[in-house]
Amino acid sequence: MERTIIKVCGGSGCKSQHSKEIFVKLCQLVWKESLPIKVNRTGCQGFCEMGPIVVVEPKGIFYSKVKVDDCEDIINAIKNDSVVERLLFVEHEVKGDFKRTTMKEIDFYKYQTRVLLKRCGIIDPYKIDDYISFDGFKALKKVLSVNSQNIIDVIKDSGLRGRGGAGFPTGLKWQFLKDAKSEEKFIICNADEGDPGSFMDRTIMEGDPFAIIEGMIICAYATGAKKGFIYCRAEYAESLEVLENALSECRKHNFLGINILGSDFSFDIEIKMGAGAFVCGEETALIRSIEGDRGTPAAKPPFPAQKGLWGRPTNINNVKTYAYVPQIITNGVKWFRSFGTEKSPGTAVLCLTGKVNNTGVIEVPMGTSLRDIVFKIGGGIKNDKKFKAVLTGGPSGGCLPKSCLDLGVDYESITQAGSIMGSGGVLVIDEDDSMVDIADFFLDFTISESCGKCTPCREGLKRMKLLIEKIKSGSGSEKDINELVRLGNIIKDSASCGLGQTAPNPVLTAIRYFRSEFEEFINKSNFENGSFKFYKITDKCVGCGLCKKNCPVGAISGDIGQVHIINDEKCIGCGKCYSVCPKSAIIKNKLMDKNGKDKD
Amino acid sequence: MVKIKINGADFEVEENITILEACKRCGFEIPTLCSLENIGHKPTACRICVVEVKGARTLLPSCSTPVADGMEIVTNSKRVIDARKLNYQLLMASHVDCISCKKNGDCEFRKVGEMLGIRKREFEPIKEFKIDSSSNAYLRNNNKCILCRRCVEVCEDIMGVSAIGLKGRGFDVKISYPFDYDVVNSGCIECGQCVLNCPTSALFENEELEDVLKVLNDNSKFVVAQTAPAVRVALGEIFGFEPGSLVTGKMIEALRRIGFDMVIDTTLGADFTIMEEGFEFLRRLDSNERLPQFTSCCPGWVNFVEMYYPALIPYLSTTKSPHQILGRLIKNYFLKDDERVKDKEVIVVSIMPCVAKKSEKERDFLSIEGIKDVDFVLTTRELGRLINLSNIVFKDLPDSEFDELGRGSGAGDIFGASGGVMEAALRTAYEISSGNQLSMLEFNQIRGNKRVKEGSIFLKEREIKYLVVSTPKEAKKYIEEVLNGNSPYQFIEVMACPNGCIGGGGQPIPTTESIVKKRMEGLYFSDKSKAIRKSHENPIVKRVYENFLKEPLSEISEKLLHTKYSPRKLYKEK
Repeated sequence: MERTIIKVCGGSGCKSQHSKEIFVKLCQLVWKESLPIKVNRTGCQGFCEMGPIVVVEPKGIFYSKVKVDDCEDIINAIKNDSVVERLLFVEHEVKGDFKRTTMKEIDFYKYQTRVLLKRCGIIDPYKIDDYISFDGFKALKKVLSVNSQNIIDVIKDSGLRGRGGAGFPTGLKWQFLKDAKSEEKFIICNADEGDPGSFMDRTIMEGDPFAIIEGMIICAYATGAKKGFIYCRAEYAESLEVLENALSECRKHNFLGINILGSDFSFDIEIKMGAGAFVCGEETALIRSIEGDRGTPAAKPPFPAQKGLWGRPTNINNVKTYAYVPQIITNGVKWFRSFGTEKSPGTAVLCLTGKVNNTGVIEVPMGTSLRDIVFKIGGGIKNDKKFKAVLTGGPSGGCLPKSCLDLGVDYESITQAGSIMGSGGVLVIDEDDSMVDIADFFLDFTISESCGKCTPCREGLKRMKLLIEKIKSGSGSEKDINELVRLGNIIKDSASCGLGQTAPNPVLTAIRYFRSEFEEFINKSNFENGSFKFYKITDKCVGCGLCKKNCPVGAISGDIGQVHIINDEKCIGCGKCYSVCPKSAIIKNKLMDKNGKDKD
Repeated sequence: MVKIKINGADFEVEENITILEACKRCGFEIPTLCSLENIGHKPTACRICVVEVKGARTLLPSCSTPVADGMEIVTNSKRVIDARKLNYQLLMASHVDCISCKKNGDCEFRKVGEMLGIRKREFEPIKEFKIDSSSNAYLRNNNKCILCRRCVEVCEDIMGVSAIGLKGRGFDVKISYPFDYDVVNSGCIECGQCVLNCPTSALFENEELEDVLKVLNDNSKFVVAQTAPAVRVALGEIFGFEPGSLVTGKMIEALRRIGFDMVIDTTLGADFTIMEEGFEFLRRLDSNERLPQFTSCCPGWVNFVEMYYPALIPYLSTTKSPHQILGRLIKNYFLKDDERVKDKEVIVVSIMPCVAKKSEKERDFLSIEGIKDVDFVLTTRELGRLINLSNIVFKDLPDSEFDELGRGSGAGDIFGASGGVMEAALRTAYEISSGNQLSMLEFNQIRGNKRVKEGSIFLKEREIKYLVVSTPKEAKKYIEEVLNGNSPYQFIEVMACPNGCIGGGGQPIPTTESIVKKRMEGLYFSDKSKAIRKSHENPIVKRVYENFLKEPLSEISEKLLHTKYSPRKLYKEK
């Protein structure tokens, strides 16, 4: 009989919910009774919302939201060959058997294609032997006997595109570095993940760090670099610890260092911590930051491959891009191209967040429709609300409406619809969210994260913000909406780096697809005493006081048994009253309602 | 050579030049605000110089994008013009009123606005900064700042001081001194190179025009103007003369017409500086102490030493700078018993290529019994404004000469160029110590527009190695040598501004390397055309020493013509 293994997730999300204590407790219990059970810690499972996650192998029993106090029951269940019912995951379905015992049965995992994430949550990220026994360093051993140009040709043929967001062909980038004439060359792994609500890179760093390192070693071998850097923000404490350990393990096993595996190729990697500026994800800003300067993007050309870190030719790839490399080398171009589309082969690692039932890090073949992502993996919209939009590409991505749901997730399609792939954030927005607020929120983010160098990004975004504020205050006009579009387009066209060139996207797409929501604020009839009227309490009100109790800003007044009133000046339109009213006595502004219907 | 298309027409241009440069050579002038060719500064920040390039996803900054074969460039499409106009408008928001602006008429930002046909302001101002008037040298008005970063670049890359930098992120980015300190409490040496390169009035000399006008109209004051050598080869540029044109005569005439009671030449002060500094050097050579001797006529350099290398203070010459000496001598000797100043107060106004001199005149040891050596300092640019204000058509002016009692030698003239002080000092030191005449007065090794120059000469039976440096950035290495005790030099001249005073922070805008070179030629020409070219041969110098000062380094000379320096703490509490 196979030995029982308990896998405890040690990713940042689960760790924050005391998975470390759970791991210790389980070990103690096993040790105390000398049970034939192995307790392992693993990297991130991706389903962080359900953490801490404990999986019992070989059956694959999936426990979610485990607490330290549950440990004894888990051990007892193993002894009795049963399951702890209360810890099983419950699918958000109303009909049929909705309790799921194993990982494979859960929609969130069932509809995924885990290629890049295949080791995440399976192996112990601190143990190099785990990685080696799971195909690790096979690719490196293979390439060390191969001509470096052949490796680059393989990467070129595979069609691998940079997973950082822009989708530049990786093989071509490597070729530039290989062809650059210089005594010193550098490669950098861009692990400066900064989109709010996205943590794909973190998942990989904490779940499968050796794959990233192996990819970097192969890149260095192919391009002739002797030194590599991993640039990671300081707040990713867990990732940094895992990576530091992985690097020293690699050095011990001579995967890094002088004369790697007996060859005449030498290479080492150093971790550089960033202070967490979003703009440092831009490659030239990242380089400045490593050099110790202010993280400000520089004009390209010269490109990093010509003049990068300390003026030397440099290649920068994203975490995911490097992590793909070993698998492409091992399994071949044909295998890689069997996933995804012709122009965007492979898979996409995404971070699904927002108003969906299942959130977390997922992996799907490129070209998978947004509908499948939101409704199959994501399990549909929370609380059975209506889907409104999905924002792809993080804070400088775009909001795509229902009509775009059948779009495949790949570089071309998403860009055509006015958004970007970005590093892979997918934020789902439901009917309760105001698109004006969403646009406003992300504009705030890019304004404060702009480096402040170029005029359009520094000054222009602020002017867009002021226009949105004007519109929201009810003093805007149709002209202001048009002005937003004009500003947004020129900022995109004339800003210096990727941040400024994409920052207006949330606003522009919100206007493109949800213009009527902006117009609501312009229509004077929606205002009373100068304040926008979001909700109104009708005569149906029985005066239960639930709305008053739930209002986060104290905008509702009224005595028990009396019809309540909303103070429009205070109301922020959150919709809490609307959703808690047991008598459906609260109605939305008719314009908001009408728009809701239009979109159906 | 590469073939390119600009606005549909075919051109052939050199490889590796920028689109901006290529367009310029082909007859298209693209407006730009942040880049500064002179110092290789192209931060691509302003986005005014953007152009369309076929195949590019976005507009590209022409100042930094190199041309490539087959490139098709459009500089004047609606797309380009709209972007330029919007970006200009965004920068213009806090530029509320041109008329009240000090840069009015001389404003690069306004010129670009004119070029773009901007007729009204689109955006209301939303930033408000306090004006920093703590320095006597210049004002800092961040409300006018367009964040081109030229000042930061100049301060760091050219001057090596890095007193000024960027603070904050996004919309809150601003140019600032560390910890938001004001100028006087920061590490600024007040050289004014930032002022010289600022395209707006965010950095502007502390104007003293009003005060000067006041004393000129006050009958109880006898107002003396003295002019530095670097002014006479640059002032003409303001009135359309070729760079480097020597306009000494017109300048003197203009000053007389403005109403100055007396116009004298700072080169006379320079001659005294040479006598004192030369003798100081010879004395140090004799005793072999405090060598190498560093010159001290540049106030920016003195500030730099006091702030960053206080250990170097003993090596500085204690001789005052020329205009301070002349101001003191005017007040204490030349006009002391003059009939013309009976019952009147003597006011000395120095016309300088410098903003640091505005602060220098306020220093503790540069006034005696409450009376300052120099009362006001005007920059070359301010003199230009004063001439315009006085309705004088400069180009039509006849030539005049300095007042007889205030004329200097050719040695004083070349003070204005880097290497000049050294050359002047060596002319005198050599002849006085050896008793021989120099066969050739030109010290060519230390002429020209290199930042570091050196040479050697035999003085007092030993080989004297001398060094000429401009900018603190270049000087640092040699300062370290001195402090480490392994400097091979005996005499070192340092000027803060690149190429010396001709490239000073108070000079006309623009001041570029090629313009400065012409000004330098102008100064050497002025020296060459003078009959007296050595300080110790100036008859006025001789007379003053005979009748008043006795000899260089005498007790009275020490009292009137020498000063003291003291270490200054950086970033002291506000």
